[in-house]
Amino acid sequence: MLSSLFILSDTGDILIEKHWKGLINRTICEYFWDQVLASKKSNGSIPPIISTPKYYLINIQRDKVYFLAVLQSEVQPLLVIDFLQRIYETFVSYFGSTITDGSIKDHFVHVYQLLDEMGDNGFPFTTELNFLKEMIKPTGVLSSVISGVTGSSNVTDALPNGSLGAINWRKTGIKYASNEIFFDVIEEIDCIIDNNGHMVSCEVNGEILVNCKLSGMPDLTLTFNNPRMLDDVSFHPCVRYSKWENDRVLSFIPPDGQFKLFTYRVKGVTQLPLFVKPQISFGEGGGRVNVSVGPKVTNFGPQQSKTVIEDVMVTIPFSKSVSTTNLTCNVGSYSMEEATKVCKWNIGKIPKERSPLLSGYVNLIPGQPAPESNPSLLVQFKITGFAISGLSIDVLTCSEAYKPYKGVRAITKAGKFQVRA
Amino acid sequence: MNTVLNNISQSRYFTDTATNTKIEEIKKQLDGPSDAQKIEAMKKLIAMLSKGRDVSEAFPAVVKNVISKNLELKKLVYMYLVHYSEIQHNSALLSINTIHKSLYDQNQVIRATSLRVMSSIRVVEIVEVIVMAIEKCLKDSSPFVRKAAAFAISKVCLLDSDKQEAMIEYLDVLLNDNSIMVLGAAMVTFSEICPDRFDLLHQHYRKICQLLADFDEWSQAVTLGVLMKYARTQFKSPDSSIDDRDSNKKQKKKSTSFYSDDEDEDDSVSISKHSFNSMDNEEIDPDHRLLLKSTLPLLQSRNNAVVMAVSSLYFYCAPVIEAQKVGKSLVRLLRNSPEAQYIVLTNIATMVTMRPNMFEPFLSEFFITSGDPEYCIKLKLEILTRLATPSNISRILKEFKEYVKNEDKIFVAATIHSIGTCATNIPDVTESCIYGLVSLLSNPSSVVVAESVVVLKRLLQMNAKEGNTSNIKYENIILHLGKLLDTLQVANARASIIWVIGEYSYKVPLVAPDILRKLAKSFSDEDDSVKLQILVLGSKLYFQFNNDNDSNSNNRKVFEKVTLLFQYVLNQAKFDLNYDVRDNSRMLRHLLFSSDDQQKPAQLLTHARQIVINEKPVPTETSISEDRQRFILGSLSHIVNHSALGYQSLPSFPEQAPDPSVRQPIQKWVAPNMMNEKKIIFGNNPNNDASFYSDDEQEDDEDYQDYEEYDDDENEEQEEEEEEDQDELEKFFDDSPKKKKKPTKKAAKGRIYQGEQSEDDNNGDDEDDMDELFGLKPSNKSANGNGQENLMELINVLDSESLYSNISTTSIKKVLLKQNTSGGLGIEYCFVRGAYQPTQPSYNIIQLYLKNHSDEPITDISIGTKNLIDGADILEFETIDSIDSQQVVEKQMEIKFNSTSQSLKFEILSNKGSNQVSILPIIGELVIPTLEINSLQEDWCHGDNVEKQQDEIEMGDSTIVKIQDGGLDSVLLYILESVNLKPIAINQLKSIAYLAGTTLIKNEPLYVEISKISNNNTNLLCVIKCNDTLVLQNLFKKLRDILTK
Repeated sequence: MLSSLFILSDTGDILIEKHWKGLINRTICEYFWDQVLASKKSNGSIPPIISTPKYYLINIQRDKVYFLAVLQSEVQPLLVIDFLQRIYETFVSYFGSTITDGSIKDHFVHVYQLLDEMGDNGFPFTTELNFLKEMIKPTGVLSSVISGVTGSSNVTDALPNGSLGAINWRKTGIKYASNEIFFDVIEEIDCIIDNNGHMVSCEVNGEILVNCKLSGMPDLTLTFNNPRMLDDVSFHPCVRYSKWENDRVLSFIPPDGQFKLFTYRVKGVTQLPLFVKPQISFGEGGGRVNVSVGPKVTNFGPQQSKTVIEDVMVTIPFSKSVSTTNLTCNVGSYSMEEATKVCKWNIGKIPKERSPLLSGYVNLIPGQPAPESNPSLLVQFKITGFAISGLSIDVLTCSEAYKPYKGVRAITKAGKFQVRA
Repeated sequence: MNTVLNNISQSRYFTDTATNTKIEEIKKQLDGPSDAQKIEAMKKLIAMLSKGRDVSEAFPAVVKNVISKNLELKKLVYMYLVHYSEIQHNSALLSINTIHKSLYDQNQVIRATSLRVMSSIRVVEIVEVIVMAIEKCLKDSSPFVRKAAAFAISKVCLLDSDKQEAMIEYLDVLLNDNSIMVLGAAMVTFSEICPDRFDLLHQHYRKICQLLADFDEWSQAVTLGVLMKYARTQFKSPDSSIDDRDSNKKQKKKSTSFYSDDEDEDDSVSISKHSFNSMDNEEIDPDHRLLLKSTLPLLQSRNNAVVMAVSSLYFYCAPVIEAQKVGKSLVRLLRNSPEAQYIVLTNIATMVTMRPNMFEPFLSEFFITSGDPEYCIKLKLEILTRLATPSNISRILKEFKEYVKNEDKIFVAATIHSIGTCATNIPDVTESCIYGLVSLLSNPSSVVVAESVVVLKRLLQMNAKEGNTSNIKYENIILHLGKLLDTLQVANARASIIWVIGEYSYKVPLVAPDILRKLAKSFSDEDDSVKLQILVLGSKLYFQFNNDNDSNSNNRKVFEKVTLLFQYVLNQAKFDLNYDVRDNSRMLRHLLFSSDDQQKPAQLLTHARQIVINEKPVPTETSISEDRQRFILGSLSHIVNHSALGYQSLPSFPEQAPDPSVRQPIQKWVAPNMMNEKKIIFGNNPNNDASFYSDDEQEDDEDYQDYEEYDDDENEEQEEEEEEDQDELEKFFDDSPKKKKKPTKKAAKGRIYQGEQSEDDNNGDDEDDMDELFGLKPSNKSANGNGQENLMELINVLDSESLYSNISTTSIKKVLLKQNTSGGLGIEYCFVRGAYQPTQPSYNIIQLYLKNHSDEPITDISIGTKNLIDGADILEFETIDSIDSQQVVEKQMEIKFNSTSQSLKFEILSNKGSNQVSILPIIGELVIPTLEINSLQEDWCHGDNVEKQQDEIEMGDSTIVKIQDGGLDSVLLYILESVNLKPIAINQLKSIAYLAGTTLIKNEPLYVEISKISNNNTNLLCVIKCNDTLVLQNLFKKLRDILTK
């Protein structure tokens, strides 16, 4: 599959090179870098697949580094992208949430060790995080201090001896003093609303993140109150497909620690939790802006009165022909970035007593014609303790003798929440 | 403190090496005594390597450290070694021995790592060593190591293509494996080294389908690709119309663009009806169905590649109706990273060109949101355009209207292009689209205007041709366009406008000459493409007004002016820098102006008008997505739109499906004489009354011991396993009728044949057995009157693969050495069965489990003096250096009994002293389940000279329970637990089963037949045939013990 893998910094320096099928000169990266420069110039995006006379380059950009796979022959390109993504995710779990050239350099020995284990002959070999962590100890500040002082190694001495069999995502002999399992139901609303307030498209993308701290080999069964709404789902490999097909329950032996159990998509949500009404009109030399935001009467479930919409932020990307703005808001704070003309209105929590309003004038650069279209507003918000799709977990049963502590938390967030003005 | 902080960060290696680059120093460190220093040095080297420096000169110093016991150092050395082995291959050879040694490490991960490293050293000279290492690892007990072996196979093929054949054989071994880890890796290797050797897959096809859901995601994606091609070569097209339909659709797309929509709908209705019909008519091969059934759940995988692979498999191999299912999952992938989104969209775009209705329900998924990268925007627009139907076009156009307001003008231009295509495909909206586009002509952005012009030109051309059904005022549009020429600067658009004016000059006869005048003025400043169009315009106008019959003096005047203008343009063009323009002017001059020379062919002159003014074909638009249809969805070649190295195109379904029986387990066995011989059997056999109960019962005790030694836990485990096995078996036999055979035949009671005595009778009896196997019994026949036609149906060949594989690879553990007699060292052993053959024939593999029960390490464990009978042998294991307290070490050794009763006696030595131990031969392990099927057939039929023993055995209670619950299958499993034979066949009523094997000592074939006796639920008839009398008798006893238990 992959011939080689390069990891480049955002300045084009090659940080890591790993070859599986013989050395490939690193000059191959120049093809890629030319594309990066070209796309930076035209403000475009780098095509994920670049063909060169001899090789194919597939890249993903994550945080501040580029992962560049070099291939020579036919392969499923999604497989490569997924593999690169998995490498990135593994790095994140080892080195912290943002991967920069600094963090790669800081851990370059780890990086090579991980790449060695994760790929063989250019094909994914061991990608299960739990298993990798058994072979290569993750770094923390503490452990790197210790190894810095004592010189002890990060390659674990006790290599996994247990079964590397069917359940490769969970090691045996896990013990916790208190057995707990937490479910985070996180739902994101992706929608486009036109200037009349009608929904052009709307869907809810949900995922359930699990933090599992259970001893032994628990076999869990999770049932929902309303499983019928879930007709478009994707699972972590630990979930048994057949059980879901037949009984609409999730039956699985969980990996240890944090993982994403499944994701789902729900369509046909008609009630949004809040409204955003923008009125923007341009005339000669300037324009009027009037944006109001407020909660909609939605069925928030039993705790309706307590539910609040938090972290609300409205982003208005004004046209480049706008020079200055003169806007005031009655709630929150407002700022505009001069270079990009992006205006951010940070509302925070929507107050009960009055509904937030942003109004005022914008001035155009003299001589510039009025922009022909109004900007699309992007809205962000967060509601805790509420899942807009209405999904709720009913029962969790556990095969082990102990009774685990179970916690469920729901959050509804804005995904790509776009309002056309 | 400072140094400590500095030490913490590994990035110091990057910064340090900039100044401290002396390789010599590093070499010195590597030669030093301290591991820590060596690790330090290795890290420096690897940091330098990362920075692009060639540090291969340190190779010899590094290679030395491959023997290090320090795991971290070892890994760093391996890393370096693999990187530079190709350029330093002489030094690399030095390391091979050491790496080879760690293939024998106790830890599976180390064994796997050393195989991976060794096979990654790309030096042709060591290929033989690698091959040997692979051969060893194929038999490793750890699936992790076998997985590494699978990967190593493809590396060897890359390194040395001569080894291909040998490697395929190894691969075949791995395909037999039942561990999902190994099987998955084997499939990956299969697709790398021999993706078209489907003959290797036949036998494993069903197993792969069943286990697919448990593979790791990467192998799933690859396996799906292989299975897709397999299905395309082995099965018939699921709906016979699939190919016709696609091509129909394509044709329709091109030709029906302007047809009214109701016709369109009619068509699609009839098509879907058609495919429904074909669904009903066509029987899908059960194996084909199995594939579709077992891959469908994978649509819910979190892995993009897997979902894509399933979609592509369904698209190509499933009935069209069922393939609709994948749309939803593909659309889901669009939520993922933009890179994945790009690839999925590219694939959807191609799918949409072939089957648009697949994605119609998901129209709004393809609406563009802010933040979509430009490569996705283009694809989304194309998909939207393809999905447009009269019913949803208003929704789409409403979206497009939003898009044209966007600030990104490239995006707007692309949208305009899409509007044009929609207008072309859906006549209802053509008019409104044209007006929309005209309004865009006043847009300040020249890019937008240019694109609108180009699109308008195309629309005009098509609608003008269609006639006057629409009431669009072309004149106005053309006039509008003409005005634009004053301001518009984009060459492409100018050229288009000029062409339009020329083509439709008859609609604007007043303006056209004036435009030519303006253009003639600016001719020299125009772009080449515009110049060419001006020439064309001139020639068209020339003919337009050159109408001799026209007496209108005004027109004559115009004609003269046009001629002058045109000649002026031609003169300018004559001296143009561009040769195309010069050539064109020369050609036109000769074509139009006859001048004075007489040689000009008269024909040209007469046809000149026709050459210039004629009806032009409407341009058809082919997009890259349509072009991409020729590549398999989901492949790299599909994305880059050319055939990548190693790309294999999709085979088309065969007209006639190849023989489906190849997927039947290989142990199929058909008696040659069964069809032409009907025999009355179990008649008055003279020997029937011979009584059984052999005279040597006292020997049985020995065999009983085997059972008494398992402890309770294991027993439970065993039973659990068995239950599972039965479940699986039942699943497997699901489709076979469950009804039990009615006991109708009168069975011969207790008889015993001693081979030598009854040779004459054997012959007849053997054939009887044949018939019985196939259910051909006179009484049976009269009962159901089925006759011979049903014979074939009654045969149910036992899938010995699945049955056999469910038996553990080892027999029951027994104690070799008790801990309390040996100072803490406890040894248990068991016989290894399964696919791992011993290095020499007649040997058994013994797995030893050595456990240290004491509190201190036991060291130097080895085999001491052996006290063996003639011909017996022990291949001992390597000395074990040390076993820590409570640690368990597994070792294998090979032994040869060369006797059915004499035990092997030998000593176990350790630092605690020596202990005498012995291993008793077990009859069940003195046979091995390898056998040529052909020889089996022959021997059964011509078994005159084979010794045979047969009798009825009264079943014990537990066996009766089993047979009532699960039929003969469960009894077979029970037997296989203790006897290492291979099940060959079972008839459908599960009343007769056959097992076979080879004796270890004399290498004689051995056959066992077990059949139910009608009218008697408590007895089983058991026949064993073998030329090795000792084994024959012992085995018979053993069977009796098993069954009477």
